[in-house]
Amino acid sequence: MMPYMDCPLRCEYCFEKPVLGTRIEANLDAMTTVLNRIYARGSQVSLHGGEPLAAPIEHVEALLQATYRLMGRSAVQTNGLLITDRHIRLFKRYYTHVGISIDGPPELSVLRRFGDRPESGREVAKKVNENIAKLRENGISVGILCVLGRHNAGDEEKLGKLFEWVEWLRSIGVSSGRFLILKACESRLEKYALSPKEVGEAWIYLYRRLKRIAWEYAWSPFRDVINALRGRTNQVVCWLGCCDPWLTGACYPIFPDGTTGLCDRSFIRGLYLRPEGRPLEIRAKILKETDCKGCKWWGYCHGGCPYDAEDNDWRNKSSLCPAIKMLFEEISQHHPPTSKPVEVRPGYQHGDSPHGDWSDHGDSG
Amino acid sequence: MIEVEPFSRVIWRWGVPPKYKIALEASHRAMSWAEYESVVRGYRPCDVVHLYPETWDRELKRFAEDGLYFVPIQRAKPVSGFAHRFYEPTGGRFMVYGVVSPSLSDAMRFVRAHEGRPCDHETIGILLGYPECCIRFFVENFPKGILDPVWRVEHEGEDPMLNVMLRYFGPRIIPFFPCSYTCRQARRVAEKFYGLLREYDEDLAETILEMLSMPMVWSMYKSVIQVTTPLFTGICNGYWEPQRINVYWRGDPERWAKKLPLQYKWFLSEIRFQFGDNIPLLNPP
Repeated sequence: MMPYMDCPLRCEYCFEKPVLGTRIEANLDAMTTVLNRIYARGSQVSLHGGEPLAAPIEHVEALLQATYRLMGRSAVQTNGLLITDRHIRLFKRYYTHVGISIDGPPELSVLRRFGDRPESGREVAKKVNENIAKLRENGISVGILCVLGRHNAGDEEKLGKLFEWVEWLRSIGVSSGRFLILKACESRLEKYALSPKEVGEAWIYLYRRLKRIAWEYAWSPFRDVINALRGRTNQVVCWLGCCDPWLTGACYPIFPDGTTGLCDRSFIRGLYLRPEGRPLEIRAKILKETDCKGCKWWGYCHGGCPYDAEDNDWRNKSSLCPAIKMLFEEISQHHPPTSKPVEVRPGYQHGDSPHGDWSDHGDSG
Repeated sequence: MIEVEPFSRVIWRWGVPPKYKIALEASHRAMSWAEYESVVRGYRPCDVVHLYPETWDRELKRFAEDGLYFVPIQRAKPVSGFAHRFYEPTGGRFMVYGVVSPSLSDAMRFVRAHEGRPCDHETIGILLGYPECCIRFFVENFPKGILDPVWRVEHEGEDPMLNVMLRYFGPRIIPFFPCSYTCRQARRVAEKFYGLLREYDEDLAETILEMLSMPMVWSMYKSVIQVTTPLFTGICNGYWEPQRINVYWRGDPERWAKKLPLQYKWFLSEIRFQFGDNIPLLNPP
């Protein structure tokens, strides 16, 4: 549920930029009506944005309450900057899992910042890390969404610092996290993006270090690759699962007016309304016969996320293909495939765990 | 080389006024009426029709009432979406493709032309009332396997009446490929069809023409066509070409930027993301 389509931050690489600031009047009744309909089909629900905590707190409470009534718990994905004691009281009352988007300790998380103050990244990250600690002190379940780029994973020294931060997260009881990859949505952002080979190396570095402390299963994409190799296809992140980019099965955003749309990664194209019908297997079909023909990992990977596609064309496989292959090669040494590859997955249905981490992460997008 | 089964899907942008959705849904029926009516009124000798078992009693009665002969040509698989060719029927379900004409001899000429090997596209084009230059264009392309020659049409200028890039989803004025997007002969035919569309529903006709004046990108790659516009993105099956082919329809950007500024901004952001900064739509002359 996206109650507010703006955000006080303008993170350098945010793919939602084209839609941030779109004025859509909130209609909580319409949102909860859709919520009830979707939940009846077995979905997992969280508040998302924009920045959901920038919405009036009454709206935040109403939506957390509506989710709690349905599920006995609730979730929010936030930049973590605006959390107040009042929010913390709500999170306790509605058994909220809080997903925080942050890219490491203050010296690394420099691209999440205010639009008019490019130097504000450290200050933002300091505050957000303090809020993570505060949430944990209050016993609130916290997960992390960390975007890997040159700023925090560009060399071994940065990766080392990043991992020290991961260990700190573990020490304070953060339950899980996801390493996403910075996508250069505009050419000026290419300087921040890792090459596919560097992504593979960063993933493998983090995987090996997490494995040493037996925490690799708490982090995506490692647990997803393990689950894929074990045939647990409904516990695999959406981008390993034949996503139809024009009817994203794993992600079903509810906009402030109660209309529904496509996965938030599509926001780089503006806001689209969700069409009727079921996801198509067109992308899987064309990739299987072209870019991915003969690939031994096809039955586990299915071409990756359409919004990471080569040339930004969803009809291509993911530009991260070399990194994904490196990760499968690495993890399969420790977790040899125990299931037959799935040629064409039927696509996610609600009730599947598209990121495999809802219960302890909260990010649906 | 891959073949994708017929499908089509329209994904609307948030905040688009309902009149465009209504027009898109009504446009198939409206154009189908205009094409049929053009034969009834003697604007052209023949029209092609598709009869489905559920409605063929009513359709055959209508042809008789209008003084038209119907001659069936072949059975084909009914498809949802847009078909660039006929598919063999499977599982007992089929539709009948045929021709209607006030003249039995014209209808039979059409059938013979269709059944000829190779198919006589020239005669078919003449009987459907298409301009000679456009028939020539079709004959030079389609038989070579260029099943959708949208990208081969001469594109020195643009006339929205001749825009055929949205036809998979409904909106169109002409039922054929023009040889050029400024072809005068095609324009003359288009005006007749547009007149009929206006007769059918004036607002609808104007909205269809308005939609055809949108800036848009037609892109075919790996047998899938994607058409990106300020109102919606449409996807459907295409045919195999070894490279991605893009056609940039400049349209009337000032009008759309003014009419739907938010959606137009998203459109620009989207085409910049997918097609890059150096495309003609982002760099007006």
